[in-house]
Amino acid sequence: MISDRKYKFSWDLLGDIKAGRPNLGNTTRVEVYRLLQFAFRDVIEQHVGTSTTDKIFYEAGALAGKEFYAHMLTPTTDLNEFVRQLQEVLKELGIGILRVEKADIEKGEIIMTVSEDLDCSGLPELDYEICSYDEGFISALLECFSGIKFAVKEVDCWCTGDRTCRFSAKAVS
Amino acid sequence: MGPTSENSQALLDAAVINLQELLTARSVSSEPPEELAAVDGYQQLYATLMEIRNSIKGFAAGDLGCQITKKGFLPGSIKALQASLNHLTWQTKMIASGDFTQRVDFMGDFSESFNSMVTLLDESMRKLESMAHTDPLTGSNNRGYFMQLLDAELNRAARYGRLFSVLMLDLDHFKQVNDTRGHAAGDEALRSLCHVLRTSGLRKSDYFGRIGGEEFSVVFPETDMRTAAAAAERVREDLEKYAVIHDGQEFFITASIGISEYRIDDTRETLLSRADQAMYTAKESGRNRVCLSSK
Repeated sequence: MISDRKYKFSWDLLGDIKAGRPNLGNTTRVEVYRLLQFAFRDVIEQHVGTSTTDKIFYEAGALAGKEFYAHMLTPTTDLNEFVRQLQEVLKELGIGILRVEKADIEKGEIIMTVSEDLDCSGLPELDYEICSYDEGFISALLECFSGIKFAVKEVDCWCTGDRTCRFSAKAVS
Repeated sequence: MGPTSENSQALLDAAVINLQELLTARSVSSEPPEELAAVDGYQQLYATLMEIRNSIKGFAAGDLGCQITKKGFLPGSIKALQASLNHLTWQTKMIASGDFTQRVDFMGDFSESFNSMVTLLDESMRKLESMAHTDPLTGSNNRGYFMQLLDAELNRAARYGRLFSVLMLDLDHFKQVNDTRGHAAGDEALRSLCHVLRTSGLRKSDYFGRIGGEEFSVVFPETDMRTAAAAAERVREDLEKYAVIHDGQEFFITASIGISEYRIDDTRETLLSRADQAMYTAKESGRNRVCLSSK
């Protein structure tokens, strides 16, 4: 572990966008986001290999999910309210359309789908699921909500020919 | 055309018939015919189509849980439908548990009908709840609901060590109003009292209910007895000046009011009993006045 960190994440690093982009505003095109993500993925994979790249993206997603929960959602203990808030904010920010298929927090099992996903919807078919960042993102959101650690796996993805991304979340005992 | 071409044509014909059956026949074999299974890729194609066939058949029979393992556009589209229907099922469960914020936006015309139904259910539930909580004559909280609110206030006060006060109010000479002017005039007097309670400067956090007959109670959260007495005095003064109009005639009513303040270990009964005693003291000392509980 590096003790003298240069890039430790802070929400403040996202900056004052209103002040910084008075003319261009707070939006950009999805291609730009994907260009950034897939360029990172390519270069990181060349340095550390595929498996570690996926792990890095999962962990980065988890970090983002934790920060997202803290700054974009109002804490609640009610599952319906949590899902409702999450649906609203994901849609409003153009991240995706979240739908819950099954949710049993006591059993620690949740299946949800994200349609029109920012990361992958519309990508060419690749024969493998690609949303490792989303997996981490969702795992952190669920952990922040429930206090239980979740392992999230993407079981269907646009990239494998599916029209929606389906995530299976299971509590880690 | 040579024998190889003839053989190929025969295989092609057999494949067309076999696939046609897979699409249209009521029952089919789980495996393709032997001669076709030997054709490169045919077995995989057959298995994919068989899984699509079985999943659609399952949906038609209401089974939304079937596993679709194949990839690609068609299985993917079926999975998208499965996801939508599963989400709809989840939403319906949420609505059944009382969450009327659920809305559908992915099922075409069905969405509009479904959302209208949820809106109507929500309105109906609100009306039913309101009816269950409201005294139909005066529109104030009924006894049952008021007692629920009072119990919640008692719990809050006990848990967080907060104080609050309770007022008991009884209209003076109400029987005389009924006997001399009729029950409709009595009803109008009760409605007028509630109007005064609503317009005499009670705070949003204060609430009242009809305890029975001509008896009402008000809860003043976070309020000591002296402050509550000042509010009660405003109500008393406003009420004695308020002209009740019935059948074109004006008459005036007054009320006797008793107030008690929450004490540790109070129950609903002990708290109301002290306010009741104070109210009877007000009655006994001439009516149309506010008395504080001394015990």
